[in-house]
Amino acid sequence: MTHIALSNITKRFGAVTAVDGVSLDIAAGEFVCLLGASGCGKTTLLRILAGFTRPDSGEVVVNGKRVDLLPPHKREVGFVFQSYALFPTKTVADNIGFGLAVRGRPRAETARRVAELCELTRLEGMEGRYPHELSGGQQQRVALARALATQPSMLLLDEPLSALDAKIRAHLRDEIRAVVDRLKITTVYVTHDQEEALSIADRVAVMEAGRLLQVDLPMNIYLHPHRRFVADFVGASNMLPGRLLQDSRVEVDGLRLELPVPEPLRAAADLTVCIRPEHVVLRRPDGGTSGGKCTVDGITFAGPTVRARFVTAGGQSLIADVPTHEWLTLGIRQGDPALWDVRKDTPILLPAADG
Amino acid sequence: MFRLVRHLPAYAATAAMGLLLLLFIALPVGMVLFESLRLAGPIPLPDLARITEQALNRLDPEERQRLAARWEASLKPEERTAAIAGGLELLGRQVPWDTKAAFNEQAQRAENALATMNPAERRRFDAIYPLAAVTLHKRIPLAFRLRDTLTPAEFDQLREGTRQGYGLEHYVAVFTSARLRTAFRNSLLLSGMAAVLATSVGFAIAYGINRGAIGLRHLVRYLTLIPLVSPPVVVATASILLFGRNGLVTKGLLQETLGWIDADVTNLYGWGGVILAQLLGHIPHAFILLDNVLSKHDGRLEEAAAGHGAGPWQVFLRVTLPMSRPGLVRSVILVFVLVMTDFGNPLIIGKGIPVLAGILYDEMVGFQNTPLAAALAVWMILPAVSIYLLVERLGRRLRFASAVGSPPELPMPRPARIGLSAVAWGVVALTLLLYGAIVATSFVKIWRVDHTLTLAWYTTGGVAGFVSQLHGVAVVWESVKVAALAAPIGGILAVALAYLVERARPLGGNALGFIALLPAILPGVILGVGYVVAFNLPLGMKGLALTGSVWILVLNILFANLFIGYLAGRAVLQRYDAAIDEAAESLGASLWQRFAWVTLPIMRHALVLGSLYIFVHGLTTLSAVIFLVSPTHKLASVEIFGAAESGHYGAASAISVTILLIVFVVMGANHWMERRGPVWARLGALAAGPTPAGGGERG
Repeated sequence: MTHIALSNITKRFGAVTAVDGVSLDIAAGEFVCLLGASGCGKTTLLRILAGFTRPDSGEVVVNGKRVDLLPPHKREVGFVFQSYALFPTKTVADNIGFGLAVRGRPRAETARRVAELCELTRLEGMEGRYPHELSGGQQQRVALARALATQPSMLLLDEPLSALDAKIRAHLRDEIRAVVDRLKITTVYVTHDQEEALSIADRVAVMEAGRLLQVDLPMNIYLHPHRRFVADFVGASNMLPGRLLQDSRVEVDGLRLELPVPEPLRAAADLTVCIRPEHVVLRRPDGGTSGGKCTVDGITFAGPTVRARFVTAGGQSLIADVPTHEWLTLGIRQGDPALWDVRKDTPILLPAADG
Repeated sequence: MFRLVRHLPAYAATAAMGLLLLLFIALPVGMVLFESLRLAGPIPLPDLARITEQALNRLDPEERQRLAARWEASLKPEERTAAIAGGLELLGRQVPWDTKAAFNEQAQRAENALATMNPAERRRFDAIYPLAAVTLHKRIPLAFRLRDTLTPAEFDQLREGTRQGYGLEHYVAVFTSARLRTAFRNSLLLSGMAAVLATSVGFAIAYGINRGAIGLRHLVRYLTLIPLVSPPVVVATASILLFGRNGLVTKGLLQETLGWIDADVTNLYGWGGVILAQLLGHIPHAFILLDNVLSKHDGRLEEAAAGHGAGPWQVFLRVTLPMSRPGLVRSVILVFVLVMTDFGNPLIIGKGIPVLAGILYDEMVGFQNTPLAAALAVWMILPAVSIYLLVERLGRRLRFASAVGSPPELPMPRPARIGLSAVAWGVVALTLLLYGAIVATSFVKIWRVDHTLTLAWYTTGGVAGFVSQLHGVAVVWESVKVAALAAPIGGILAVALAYLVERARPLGGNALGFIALLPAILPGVILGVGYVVAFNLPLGMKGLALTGSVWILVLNILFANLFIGYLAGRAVLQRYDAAIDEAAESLGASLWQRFAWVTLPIMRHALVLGSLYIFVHGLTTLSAVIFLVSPTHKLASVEIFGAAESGHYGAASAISVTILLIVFVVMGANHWMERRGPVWARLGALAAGPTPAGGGERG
């Protein structure tokens, strides 16, 4: 199993710095997601790992050996492209077996391996078809099988599901994870879809403007983001200015919250408080004494939840996600006054001014 | 270091390709330009007359008088006629008779010309005539008489009438020489008319087909395109057979049967015939271009206009035409250049109308005046290039194609529908009529004279009683050999070049691409002249000379038509995912493995297209190769031209029909393979279509 170490990788394209001093360690057998918006450098980093792009500085070490001087065809990497890049003039079987054919493996061995992979990716029966005769999802599975055929030391996937629609995407990402688990292969997966990243990765690395902002378990990324960008990018958020009153009390827009304050922030007087919409509690004006006054000025039905936009007494415009069955019991209509509160210990504290 | 090693194969391949392109395209073209500036060869008449006059002035007046009289009296009749022509030319007049006609006819016309001159003109002529006579025929005795007073250089120059040097004189000659001025004017007129007419008709047919106004679309398309793959001068020859002095329609039908006209007077020789020939011969070129343009139009624009209340005519004028404007301009320029550089048709059916291309042919073949020919070749493309640049200046955007071109679903008014159908079927009918005449001619003894059916024109024996050098269709085999040799080599080279330029992207790749495309924008005649100049005595070594061998033909045909395969190859590569190459690389394939196993199969379609184009062109091209054939290596297209020019229509027709058959068979086979062949053959074309990765599909 493969252990990957990226040290201080930098890559510039003209005036643009695509990757800015990124260092990342990936343990053997781990499934890491590079998550970020378009242009953040995640694909460039992946391509550097694959060998298609050479870094301007930094090292790529795989299993203790430096590989950043090796061309792609010497690196034993399986790469799945966003557009699948299947060979249009070859059958599914020939596509999958291409890596083996190039290495001069005997036909029988190649055929066996192709059959194995077809079974693994549920493509039995399609071996004789051509790419243009397959659906998007099937093509994607062929691309995956092809990348795995040569038993590479790592699997790299560049937004493989972005060309498919939502339902298939959810289904296929689980399949990919299942295949990877079965083979116990170190995997790096690039995506801009945070739901995807959170659901299949062992660890998520959030990137922005060529830098790694936070590398952590998915739940930590969501519940305990270290930076405002990460909090904003992953999941929805309400950002409010807050004031630190005492060691464990934070004032936010008239609400006094009792929260554990992390060490680095204890010296600051001003903070940013991030509250997830599902952690906001709305009550009728007569539903209790705790909470701040607000007016509900927008209601959107989203299926399992209702998203309510409300304006606080302090003039902040915030959103709350309320489960639909609860909303129905609340009976609040657009324009009605209400009370808002926050569930205990849920707000996220961030430095007052940061990126 | 890593960089260099990784890219070494690409650099080596680029260097090799660059050498080939430089040697066989850039060099000949450059040499044409170079040659056009060379003032070697016969001194033009006005300058020669001046030199002669200077020499004459060295004689004392008495002697001069005496000699002049004696020399004039000693002129033979042909010399006298030539002297009269010379005198007219020196006066800046155009010679009003065909200088290639029989001598007695010329002599008679010369005397007529003199008789019909007005007195003032006659006086001027009489003054200059003696000089003309001496300049043309008596320079040698004059030179010897003055030998002691002349320097050796002057003596040689006077005696031989040739010179060495460099200058723009040949270019200027188009304005100074009456002969060239007229020819240039004729060429411009003819090209302009043919370009506008062919574009209009081509547009009408393309519009009709694309908007569903014309039935049997595929049939009409194929029939319209026949002249594109025809041997040269077929249309002109057929026009003579049908509409000439002894034509089936003019004499047979309209004169003899209906008594309406006198075919000797009313026939298609002259402007009418040439325009018809050039029009029909070039409608296909315009049609292909405009068909392509119209098929990429977004019909939603026209529908939107109609939705705003525009009637069909307004929609056409305000939406369709402006959108088609870039294509129309390109079509006009294309046909303009093609007609400007075509000498075949004018020489066959427009003998009384000198054109620049015809003069170029004369100068090359008759007078070996390569420099003047080269300058004329450059002149022929100058108008087109200027128009192109002008248009580019005025209108930035040259393409209005949308990603999804689809015709508008607007009903076309009945009169328009009928009109467009009439035009399309009219052109088709005329084309079929003309080609039918050719086929018929090839199977009878002598068209309109002896209609016994015979296969003699097809066999090697020829028709008894005719000149034995017409060897039937055996010469077709020569052409096929040359074309079949050039086609596969050219196809592979084109595809390899496309791969290099598009994928490997080496330094100087764009320059290579440009050189490969030069023959697309330069007429074939330039490359033909260039090959003669460049490879006659390359580096002065006779051993390296390619002229007279079969290789000069093969190379010329190959490189003149390489660009099609190159463009097709680049189009395929641009359309399919560049990631496919990277995928292969990540799976362990080296550059050669990637090219052979992944790229080449995908480019099969371009390869076949490129080879096919070279093959068909090799069989049917005239202007490039006419200067490159030799007694040991003839080509069918040249034989057709020669036969048609001298009136041997039976031979010309038989060879033409054979070539057409071969072309049809080859293209039909290709078409069949594309449609019904094994999957691996079709996939090339499929790969050239939209990229496989589709969005929003069910798993």
